[in-house]
Amino acid sequence: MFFHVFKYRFLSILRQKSVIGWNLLFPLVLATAFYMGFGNLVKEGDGRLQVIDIAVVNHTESEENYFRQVVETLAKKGDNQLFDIKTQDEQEAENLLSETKIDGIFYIEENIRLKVNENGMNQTILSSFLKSYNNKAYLLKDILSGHSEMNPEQVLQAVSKEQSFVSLKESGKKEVSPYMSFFYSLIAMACLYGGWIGSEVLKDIRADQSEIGKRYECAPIRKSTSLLAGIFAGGILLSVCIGILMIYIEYVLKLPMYVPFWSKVVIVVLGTMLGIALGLFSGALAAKKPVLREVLPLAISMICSFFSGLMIGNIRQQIEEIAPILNKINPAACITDSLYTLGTYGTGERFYINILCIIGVTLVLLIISILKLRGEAYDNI
Amino acid sequence: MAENILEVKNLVKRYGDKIAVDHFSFELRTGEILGLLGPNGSGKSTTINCVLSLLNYDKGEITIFGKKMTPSSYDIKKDIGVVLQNVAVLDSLSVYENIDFFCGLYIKDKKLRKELVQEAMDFTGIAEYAKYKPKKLSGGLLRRLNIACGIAHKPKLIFFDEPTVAVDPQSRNAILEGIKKLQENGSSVIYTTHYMEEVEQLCDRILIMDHGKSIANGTTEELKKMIGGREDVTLNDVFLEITGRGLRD
Repeated sequence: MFFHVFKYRFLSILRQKSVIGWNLLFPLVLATAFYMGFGNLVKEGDGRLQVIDIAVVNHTESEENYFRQVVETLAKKGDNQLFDIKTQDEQEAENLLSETKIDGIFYIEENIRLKVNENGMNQTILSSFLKSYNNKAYLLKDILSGHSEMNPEQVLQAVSKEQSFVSLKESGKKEVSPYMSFFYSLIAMACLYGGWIGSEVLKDIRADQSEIGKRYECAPIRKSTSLLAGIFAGGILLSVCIGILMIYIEYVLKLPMYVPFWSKVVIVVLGTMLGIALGLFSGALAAKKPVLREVLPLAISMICSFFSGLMIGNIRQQIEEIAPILNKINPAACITDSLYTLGTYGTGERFYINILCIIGVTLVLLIISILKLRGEAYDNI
Repeated sequence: MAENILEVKNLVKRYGDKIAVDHFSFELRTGEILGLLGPNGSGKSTTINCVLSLLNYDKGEITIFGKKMTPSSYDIKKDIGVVLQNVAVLDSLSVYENIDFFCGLYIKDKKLRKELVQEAMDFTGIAEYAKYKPKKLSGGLLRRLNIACGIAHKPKLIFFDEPTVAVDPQSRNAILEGIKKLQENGSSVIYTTHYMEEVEQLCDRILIMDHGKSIANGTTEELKKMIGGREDVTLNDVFLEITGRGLRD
């Protein structure tokens, strides 16, 4: 009986366009939109500066050749290499820039000029570099013009000195771009969208929620069997949808998550259970209100996803400072943080705490649902 | 005298202060088609829902096949078929899949089930639409699918709750003939409707209820005699005479 119900529930849910649309296609579309918006930032920004391809075109033999010396120093091969000078020929430089084979051209003229073709991290670095050079050059000129007795080299060393108050501690893992948080939140949202599936499964076995439910309740089948079969069917479909989303992000959009395979499986399974539990909870709470039954899973999903960082990247961190408990009871925030923690630090206390919180929220939703749905007959249908 | 397949004694059901079924008693004999009539709000559907253990009730006894009926009476439920007033099928499954699905809740044997599903489709005249989805069916065909889903497992006791609502005369006739055949095959039927001609054509006995009580019980002829037994008296006249001509909610 279980497999018979499972088979037809699976088919029935699979063929519902709304389920495939919202649980599979919409997250894929959103992932693509995120990628188009800031996918380059994710690829560029794994935390370390990449060597920037530039051209340097000299239009004068003036003191700004010092600028060229600085650039050439920073273009020397080694750990501190920042630039790679591709050409010094103006025509070639213009061609390379238009073909985006270089990120910018420095024109050494009376004032150093930077030409770029688009906005991005590298272009921002070039601009900041030029600003910093100009500031120091101005300062050097200003000091030496008023204090000709000073040693230019000593003055140069003094204005060039940068003091840092923080030090970089290697975590031992590849650094995950902070922009990946948006994709992790998207995965969390996809898990919570399983609420629709959970709500559908419950609706179809309850006489007070659908005509199909009346037929079910007249049949010689235990409600628990019907419910479990439906949950398994819906759960497998939802897991596949979430899995496809993860594969799409990592292998089609080529945005590395740095999350081990087994961890992905754990997240997918727990996320699925959470989504289905949310649906059962909504169905139990809004038994006699069809509109509320449909709106409630969506509302909870979107609110939780928003506060997990789906739209504002650092909102989770802000909440962590003000009221960390809210992050712990927000299952979307827990899923997002689990993925981010795995990618950055590997498994550890923080990851396991998140997992426990997800399990806790799921259990609470299930217990409330069971208590509300207990009882075999109805007072009104 | 035929054995009673269903007995309802002193059934009481309240919705808050309103009493929907008021000490209502009736029985259904084996092999009988019992018509259950009443105006809107008389308690017909509530009675059926209580008998099927879909609703809690405040007082009374319900026995089917000689056993007390409860929500977990799976041994009783396996021999009951239900054809609800509203169509209850899954939109994303085809005609064949719908019937197979619901029949499978009663019959585990796949081979037997396959035969029963085909028989149900032939019986209701929808075999050529086996691969169609419900959305592609007309109202009449949808009703016949609804019936097929309720009777495919060959139940001994079948509840029809206004099965011909919004159905054209041809489809209605086909449905009524089908129900007669079910009786000939050994099923007992409780049939609720507002169409008097259906009751006259189909039912062995008629039970009229109003305000949750039984107010008339007998064959068509017996009921006609209640208001004088004139030759031109119709069952509709009997009904209006007994229940009144005032409009109901």
